[in-house]
Amino acid sequence: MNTVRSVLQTAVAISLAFLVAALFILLQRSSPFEVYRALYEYGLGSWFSFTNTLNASFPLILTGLSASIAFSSGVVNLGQHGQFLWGALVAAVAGVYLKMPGWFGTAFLAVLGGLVGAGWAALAAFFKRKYRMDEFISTLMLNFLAEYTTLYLATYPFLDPKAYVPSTRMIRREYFLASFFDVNLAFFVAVFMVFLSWWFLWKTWRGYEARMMGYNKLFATVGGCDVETDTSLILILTGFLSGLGGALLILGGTQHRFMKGIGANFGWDGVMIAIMAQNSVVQTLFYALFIGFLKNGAVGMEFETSVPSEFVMFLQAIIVLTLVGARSGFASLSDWLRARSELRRLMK
Amino acid sequence: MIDICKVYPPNVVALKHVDFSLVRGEVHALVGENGAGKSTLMKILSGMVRPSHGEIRVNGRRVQISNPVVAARLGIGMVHQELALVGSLKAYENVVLGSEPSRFGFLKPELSLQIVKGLAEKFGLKVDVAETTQELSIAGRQKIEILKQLYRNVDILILDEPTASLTPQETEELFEEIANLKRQGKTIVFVAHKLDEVLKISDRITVLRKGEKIATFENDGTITAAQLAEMMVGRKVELVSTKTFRERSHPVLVMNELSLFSKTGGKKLLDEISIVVHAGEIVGIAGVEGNGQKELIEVLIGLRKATSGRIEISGKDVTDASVRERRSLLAYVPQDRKNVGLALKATVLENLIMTHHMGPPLKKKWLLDNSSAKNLAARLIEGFNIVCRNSFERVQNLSGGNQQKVIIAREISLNRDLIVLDQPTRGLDVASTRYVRDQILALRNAGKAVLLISSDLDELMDLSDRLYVIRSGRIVAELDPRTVDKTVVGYHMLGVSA
Repeated sequence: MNTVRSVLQTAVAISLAFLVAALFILLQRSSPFEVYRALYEYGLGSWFSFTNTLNASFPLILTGLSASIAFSSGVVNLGQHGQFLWGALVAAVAGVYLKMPGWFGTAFLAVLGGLVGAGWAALAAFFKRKYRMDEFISTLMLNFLAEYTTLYLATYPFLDPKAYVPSTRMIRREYFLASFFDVNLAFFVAVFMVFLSWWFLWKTWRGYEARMMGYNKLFATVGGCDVETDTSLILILTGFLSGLGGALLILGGTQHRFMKGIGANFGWDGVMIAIMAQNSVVQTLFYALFIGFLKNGAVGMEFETSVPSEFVMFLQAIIVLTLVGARSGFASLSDWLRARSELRRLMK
Repeated sequence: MIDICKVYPPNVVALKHVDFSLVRGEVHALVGENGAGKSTLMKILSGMVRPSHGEIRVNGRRVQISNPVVAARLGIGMVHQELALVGSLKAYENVVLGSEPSRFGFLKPELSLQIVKGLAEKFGLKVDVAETTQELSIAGRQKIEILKQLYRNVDILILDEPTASLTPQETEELFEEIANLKRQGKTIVFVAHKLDEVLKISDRITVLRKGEKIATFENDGTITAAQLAEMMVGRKVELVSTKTFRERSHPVLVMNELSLFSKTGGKKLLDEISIVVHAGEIVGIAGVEGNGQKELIEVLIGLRKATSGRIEISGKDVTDASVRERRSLLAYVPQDRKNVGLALKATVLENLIMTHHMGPPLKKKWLLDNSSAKNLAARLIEGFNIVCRNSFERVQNLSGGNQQKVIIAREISLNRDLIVLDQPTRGLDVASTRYVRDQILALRNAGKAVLLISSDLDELMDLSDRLYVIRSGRIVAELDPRTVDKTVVGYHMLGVSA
């Protein structure tokens, strides 16, 4: 019943968003039909588009997962961006200079990237524990530090002089992540992390404590939960997921090197995905794929029509707004209807 | 008020076709259990809540009371249970706040003071209006709220459970003042659940039960408290749990000269408190609210560290232990069900296994054993008669009484030697109250040490084997409730000699 209702809500909200966006496309004197057809064809229309969408969404799955787990535990980790960048940079640099057997090297670099992300988040955990600094502020500020420190490292010490934009050298070819029927292994790793996270939250006692902390921190504290350690653990764990996302982008993406702007908007898209998914781990997978589809389709849309790919950002924003609006709208509408029928029964 | 109905979305029916009338210059008591609709009815009258159906007439004229300002213009004012005053202002400033006497836009503080003083004298309210508000007692602050309404010239004054946190002496004083107000032509609605008080001061009584009006009648001395209770609940009730004498044994909780200073260091929130609770006894803590009970519990549970002193539970020194470590030695029923005792959006099962999850059989190394959790939840739901659809229902959908049962079930089944209960029956209906009290007595008879904090003096007198009185963070008396009278406890609570 609840699942049916929420799927229905989502469908209505997304359709509504596409309708609103269509008006704006009309204003630009383009045909919404053409635009959406291009979006679909390049996002899902063929095996090639479909696998491209999957490959575009694995970083989103991981940053989205990171945000979802943090928020559902009442830990406001907003540092996905910085953790992601550090994971990417360290994996990229180590991938150039370290010499290891192929498959081992790939795995090592992925884990290393995750650990670096975890370490970056651990700073926030340390500040929180030692100085009671709110992780909301510290993770946010650490993003700026990460942004410019990684950019500096890629521009000066590890610069590839032959590159057009500041970037590191390409990692060793043997560390490239293989694809399986055109789907990069990074995607499977990301999906596996979704399952692992679900297992952690729902099957371990730490996961239980984390979820209860998300519901009501005082309740968890008084109930004897180890809230300090749980909070640090969640910060570090979600930092790991973001960092892993960054490392996988280097290993399984298309650039295989760290370059200026590679982090794009993955961190903030992750936060947005978590909000759309209401911090549910399983829904995060779905919404990450959906956003991945939009982003991938946008490239084609730009090809075929005069609508720029940035338009998809606009569309995303409308979708988030209608989705959040539809949820509370549906809830109050159904409450109001029930109240009215109750009153009518009373009047008889 | 004619044919008033109120449905709170989505489907909570609070009032069903209720008629209610007030006669000028009467004291009208409105009684009923928690959830009977008393507050909703009065909130509708005072413009805080809009009715779903029905009409209201004031002096024969039909009115729409859409907000409290409209109500005030019609001469209707309400004093809520939670007092809403600015603590740092002088009392008289709170009275005039919002409609201060002024000249050319400048405040006239002397004039305010003079007017408020005159008002207090006229209506015989004994309170120092020049004092800073937070320095006043609860009873004092309540009078300021009443003055605030009188200053706005109300004719109908609604008092929502005004005696809930007053001592017997303060209650007595309030009643005299109510009689005074009545003599000066004010109409008073007295919302209450203490029946002897209702019978004492009201001219007419209206009984609500589950959103319906049961009756309105003259209080002419022919009705008894027992009859009134029966009307409220719908069947005969035995209010008092019976208690047998028990020999007390070894000490379980020992608090030794515990002190707590406020963060800035100046104020002593707890002042050398020493308390002992033995196995097989219920020790009550009486006191006017805000005299250190909250801090005492926080220090005992481990949410705050004491400045000095020592706490021992079951022979273990826990002075520096974490909440988690202490929770393996004590069970705790917090006062604030919704914000501390439960996670409302979590399921019944998730709420029931809290604290149990710290040890076997639920905790298995890294994992939380799902089948043990389900077993525990099923056992508790059945054993404590928790009414819910299943253990995966959200706790917020349960009634208040059943929510409290979830907490009580969880804490009792922890089987700790020490149980701390903070206002365990506050806001519960008669049947649930009775149930909780019986559980508390059963714990004691099973040899547990019980520490009971309550602002309900009757409850403390009925249940405790020993009674400490706390005032200004200090234990001022240790009494035997079997030999001492309620008024004596009241004197200790207030700090005046008998």
